[in-house]
Amino acid sequence: MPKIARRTCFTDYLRAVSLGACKSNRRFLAKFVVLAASVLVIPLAASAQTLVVTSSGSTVSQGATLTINTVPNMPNLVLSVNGGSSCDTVSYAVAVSYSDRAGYTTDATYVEQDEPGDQSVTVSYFGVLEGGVATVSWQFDGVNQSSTLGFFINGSNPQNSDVDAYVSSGPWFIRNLINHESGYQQFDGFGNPIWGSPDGIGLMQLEPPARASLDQDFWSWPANLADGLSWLNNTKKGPAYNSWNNELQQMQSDMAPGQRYPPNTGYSYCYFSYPQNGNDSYADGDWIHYYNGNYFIFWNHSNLSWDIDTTGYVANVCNTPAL
Amino acid sequence: MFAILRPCSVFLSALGLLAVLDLLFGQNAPTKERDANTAPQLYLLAGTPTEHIDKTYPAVLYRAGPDQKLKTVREVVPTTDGLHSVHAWGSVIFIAYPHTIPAAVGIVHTGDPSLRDNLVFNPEAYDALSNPGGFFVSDTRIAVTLARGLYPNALFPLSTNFADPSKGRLANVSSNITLAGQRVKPDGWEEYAALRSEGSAGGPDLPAGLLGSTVGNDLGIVVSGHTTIVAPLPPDLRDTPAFTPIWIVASSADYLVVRRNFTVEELASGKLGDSIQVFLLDRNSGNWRTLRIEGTSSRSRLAGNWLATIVARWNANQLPSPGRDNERGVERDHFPNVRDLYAQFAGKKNLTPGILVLQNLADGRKIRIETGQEDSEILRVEGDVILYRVNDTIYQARIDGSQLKDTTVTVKDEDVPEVHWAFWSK
Repeated sequence: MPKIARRTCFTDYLRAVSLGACKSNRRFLAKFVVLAASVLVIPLAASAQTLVVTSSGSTVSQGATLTINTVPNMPNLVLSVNGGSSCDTVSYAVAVSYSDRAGYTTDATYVEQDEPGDQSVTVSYFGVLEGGVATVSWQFDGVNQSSTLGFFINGSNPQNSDVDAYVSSGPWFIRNLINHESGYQQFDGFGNPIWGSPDGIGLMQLEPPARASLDQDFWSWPANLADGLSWLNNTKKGPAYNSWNNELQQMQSDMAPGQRYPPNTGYSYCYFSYPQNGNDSYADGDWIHYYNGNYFIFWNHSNLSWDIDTTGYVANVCNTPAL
Repeated sequence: MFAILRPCSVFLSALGLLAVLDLLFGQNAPTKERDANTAPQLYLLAGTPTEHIDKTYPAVLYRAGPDQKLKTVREVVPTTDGLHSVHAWGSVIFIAYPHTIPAAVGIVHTGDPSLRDNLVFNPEAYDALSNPGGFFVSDTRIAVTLARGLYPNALFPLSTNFADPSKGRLANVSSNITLAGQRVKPDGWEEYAALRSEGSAGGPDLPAGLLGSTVGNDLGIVVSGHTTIVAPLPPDLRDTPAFTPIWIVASSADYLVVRRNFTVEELASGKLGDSIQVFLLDRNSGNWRTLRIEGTSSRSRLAGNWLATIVARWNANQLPSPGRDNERGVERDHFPNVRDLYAQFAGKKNLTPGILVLQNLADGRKIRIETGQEDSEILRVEGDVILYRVNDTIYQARIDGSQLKDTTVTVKDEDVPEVHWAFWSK
């Protein structure tokens, strides 16, 4: 359709020129003028358009850095073409890609298709946040243009209070855990998703399969927290509580009619005991440890004694303050 | 005078020759290939119990292939469930699952390894979120018994609270598949008197063991207020306080092997030396005698007259055992990180130097296999044939007096580190 509209615009122009020539009764000259015009006009029209990219009113230059804000929202991006007309159509593609240290790639391409050549368009992200290397490419009247614009999109960390508010319904140790895992950082000093060995991402240092939101776990701090909370509550709590209660029963079975309770285990911000007596439950100790894998406490049948991982993950979390 | 060979004569002669050849080399003749089809094949059960952690792995039954690779026969327990424990005796292997609080058992019948036989014995298993009033299983009182003759049963003591004797019950699982719908019965505590235990397998897990108690001058199984006498105590263990824990190392029709429990303090003191004393009841004579087992925290397994031991010593400084670097150090597909598991469990407080000891309880012979590898164990002894595993390789050898001869590689494959049970079957 755009091509048909173009021919209409161009043949009208040629007709106007040829009518002028006909009025002077010089048909041969008219045809020459039309031919000359078509030879001259087309190349001039093809080299007249340039891509224009702005963000919040400012021109985005090659190699610039835009930032996902703390809400989080993607940066405002407005695309247009200089020298386009209403008879022209322009399609834009904004490709964003990032690869982390483990080789995992996040990417998305935002497309604005068949826009009028004389109109600007604000890129719609549809709630999908992506960062990394960004490239804007465009088509003018169906022809791929060689000029593109490359820039960067990075992220910005939320306020500690925003993180605390988001996880306020989580378990009592969640803020200690987040601080231990990431220091309350979703992004590093370069605005890239913070990565920790063996392959953790963001505030909750999510590893597969806990990254239920995939790329959003990298670029959206609420998604990262939500998936971390879900992993804790829906995947780890039940097995952890089953484990502790089973270990307690194993002790009861082995030591009956006697008992051998585990020794109290204390840290700066946690104090585990059984009977609980107002202290923290060993079930929660296992729950904390299960986030990182493996046990906190188990009843060792071989020696009829308790085996507690006193210096491992639980110690790290329970000695880290909440922010 | 020449005989003229008629065409039909030639034909009949040819037929006769063919008949002779067929008799010698044809399908009806006993051939090596035909023998191989009916010869017993080696089956290997792979599985890593993970009661104490939140990772789960499958139990898989394999057959040893002619190319020294494992051939999958069937999956006995899926990865999603994981294994709790394995108890083998005679022609039956009971595999309890899921891994934390078992509710069902997968049974391998060595006479028909392909037969899928799974039974639920704890339908009201405890779950913190969905069934907090449910039943736990006492790890150290799970036992195989032969009280009902030829068919081994598995006893699973259940309770909602083992501190309260009134809360217990027993799930008695029969391996007799002809019983149809009557294979899981409640109670039957008296069957503990005929308990059978091969002992502890190898691998990175810490097997629970079978725990008895002193009951006067007898050894008994005491759980949930029920007491079943197994045997009189050895003289040296009599007159000990009631309910003193006594570990049942192994129990067969011919032998009962027990030892007393050692506290962490005793083990750490170094006063136990390099070996411990165990007590051996010869059921045929009714006499107790003592035996020394190398190591202070060793694991032993009974096969006929042979007591097979993985030597281990108390490891106060939690040093890695020899061969730790040769163990699988990553978790891959359905295979565990063996190195990590040893570091957390069997190898954490036990230094395992890679010494396997065979002691013949009848004639006193002793054979020592020095593998130098933590992850090694004796899988089976049958007649004069021994199978033992070192990391990812299974060896077969012949016992000749007090030596091993004709050692060959039987299987070498990726999942061999998870193999802890072996049997031959047609």
